[in-house]
Amino acid sequence: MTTTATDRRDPAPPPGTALGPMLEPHEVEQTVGDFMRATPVSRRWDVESIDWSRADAGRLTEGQRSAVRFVTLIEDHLPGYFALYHRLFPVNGDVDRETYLHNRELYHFTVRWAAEEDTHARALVRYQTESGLADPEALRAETAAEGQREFTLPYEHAVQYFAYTLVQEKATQIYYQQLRAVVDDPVLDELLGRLSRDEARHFSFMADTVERYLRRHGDRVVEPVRDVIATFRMPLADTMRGYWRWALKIADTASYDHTDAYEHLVRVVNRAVDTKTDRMDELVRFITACRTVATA
Amino acid sequence: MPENSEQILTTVTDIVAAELGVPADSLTPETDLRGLEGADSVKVLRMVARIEQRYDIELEDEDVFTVATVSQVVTVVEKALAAEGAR
Repeated sequence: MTTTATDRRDPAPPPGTALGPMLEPHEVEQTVGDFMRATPVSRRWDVESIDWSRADAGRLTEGQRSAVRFVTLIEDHLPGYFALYHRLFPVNGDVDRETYLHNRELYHFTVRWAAEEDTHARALVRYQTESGLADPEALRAETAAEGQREFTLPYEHAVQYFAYTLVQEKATQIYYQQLRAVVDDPVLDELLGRLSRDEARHFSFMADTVERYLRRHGDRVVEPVRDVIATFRMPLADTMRGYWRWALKIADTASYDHTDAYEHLVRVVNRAVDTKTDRMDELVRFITACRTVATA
Repeated sequence: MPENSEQILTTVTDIVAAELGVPADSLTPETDLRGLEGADSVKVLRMVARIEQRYDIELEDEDVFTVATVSQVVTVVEKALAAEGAR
C-alpha cells in the first residue's frame, strides 16, 4: 500500500493539533481560492457601511431584543474561535512541512473568515449602542465577561472541526434569516441580511471542504462526522452559565431549529459520493434521523 | 400532593418520548438518552426545559449536562423538588 503525505502525519501530531487524515495542500488552496472569488472587494462591507442613525430597538419585542443580545455574545467570542483554529492548525515549526503547507493554505481562509466575523461582532455591538438597546460601558463589561472564557470543542479530527462549523454556519445563517423575517427595525433588517449572506459563504467553504474530505478519504471520515452530529452542542454551551436556557428561548423567538442545518450536511454527503458505501448510507440515515420532526 | 418517584418516572418517560420522538414503551429507567437515535444534546436540553416547565423547577447546569439516563433525570428532578420544598 502506498503511503501518502496525509497518512504520514497521522501517527504523531503535536499535542493539541488536529488529527488526520487531512486534505492535500493543493486541495485546500483550491477551496480557499473558490471562497475568495466568491467575496470580491465590491461585495464586502464594513460597520461603517451602515447608516446607524435610524436604528431603534424600541421597535423590537422583548424576545427580539434578547436575541440580539445573545447573538452579539456569540459573535463577539471570535478571538476564542480564532485561537482554537490557530492551535489546531499551527503555522509554525511545531509541525512537519506537509502539515505546515496544509495549515498555511487554510490560514488564508481563517484570517478572512475571522475578519468578517469580527465585523459581525462590531456591527452587533454598534447596533446595540446606536439603537438604545444597551449602554456601551455595560455592554463592554458583558462581552468581556463572556469573552474571557475559553472556547473548546470536544473533537480530535480535522474533519470534525469543518463538519461542526458547517452545521454552525448554516444554522446561524438560518437563524439570522428567521429573525430578520420578524423584526420591524429596518437597520436591524439590513444588518441581519448582511450577516446571513456572510454566513452562507462561510457555510459554502465548510461544505466544499467536508465534501473533499469525503471524496478523498471516504469511510475513514464517516465515524468522525457522525460523532459531530451525535454530540452536537451549541457554541459556548459549556462556557456561559444558563446559556442553554437563553439559547432555547431565542430559538423560539425566531421559530428556529438547529437541526434544519442537518439536511445541508446530508446534501454534502450525497454530492461527495456517487455510490454510497454501507457506512455512508448509515451516516445519511443517522443525520436524517437527527432532524427534528416538525410536530415535536 | 407531590408526585412519588414512580409518578415522576412516568412523567419524565413521557416527556423524553415526546421530545426525542421515540415510543414511551421503548424506554427504561436505564435508557441512555444520548444513545437514542436522533437525540443530540440540543434535543436533550429541550427535553430538560420541558421537564423544568412541567414541575416549575430549575435544574443545576451541572446536573443538566451530566445526566445520562432516564432514572438519573428522575433523581435530579426529585432533588430540585426537594430543594423547592425546603424553601
